[in-house]
Amino acid sequence: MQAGPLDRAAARLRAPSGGVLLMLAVGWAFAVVQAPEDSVQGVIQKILYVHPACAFAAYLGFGITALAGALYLWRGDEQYDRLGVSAAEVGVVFCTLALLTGPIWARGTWGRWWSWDPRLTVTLLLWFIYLAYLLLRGFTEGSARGARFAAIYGIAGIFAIPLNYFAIDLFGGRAIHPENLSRGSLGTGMGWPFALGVITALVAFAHLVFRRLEVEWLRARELRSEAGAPGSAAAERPWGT
Amino acid sequence: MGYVIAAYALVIGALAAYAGLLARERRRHLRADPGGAEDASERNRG
Repeated sequence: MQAGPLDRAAARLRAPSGGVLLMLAVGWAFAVVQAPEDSVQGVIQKILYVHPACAFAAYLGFGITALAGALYLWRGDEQYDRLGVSAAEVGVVFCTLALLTGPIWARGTWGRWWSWDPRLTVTLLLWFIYLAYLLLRGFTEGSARGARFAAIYGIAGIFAIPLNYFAIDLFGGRAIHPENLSRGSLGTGMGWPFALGVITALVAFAHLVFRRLEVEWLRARELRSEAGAPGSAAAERPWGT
Repeated sequence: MGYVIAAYALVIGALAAYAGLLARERRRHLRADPGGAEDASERNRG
């Protein structure tokens, strides 16, 4: 089984996860400590440096899934399929974290954990879309037909991202979630801790995608060798059917 | 401050748990197929 450039990159870029997580903790702690306290919300507003960062990482994961799906359909190269499933899984992890940190912030500011606000509802929808993608991959493991269907599904799912991002503008007065950040909308001294928080999350995202991609390569290799073994269970379901 | 610490601890803890799961999965596959990592990084270059 031939490794593609993406598989080789994942195998070579092996930073220790402990070091990456330590950098993550130090980066966020630095952002939280250095950022000034918000005059309206108080200290709870410091969740800002992790909550949108998780959402951006999720968007990136789902965007890569769609792009990898398109490349897989176009080129038929399995490395894109492996990238798609890896980015989707890491994207779902970050989307889950955005969905968990949001309610913690909401509890402290709105007084309740959840509201069926357009942004929250569409984020939940986005989470379900890509969770279904992962379930689909789980049920069709090793099947080229399943990979093609998942690629199309991953491309279709990307349309929920602009809906999610612009939900507040689209639904206007019904939204209680704060508006999207724009230039100058953060308080003085909050810009660079916010940027640091986002960069930190994206570095962690890239690390996890590479680690997941490596696992996906090993899994595909194992599945293929099992399929070739006479009498094995996998031989009943050869790769590529 | 409790909510802030809870949010950051949750994110870092969850990412650490996920990275741990990936490392465990990698070790499991490498036990079954010790040449897998080498093949990805060395033999199929180019």
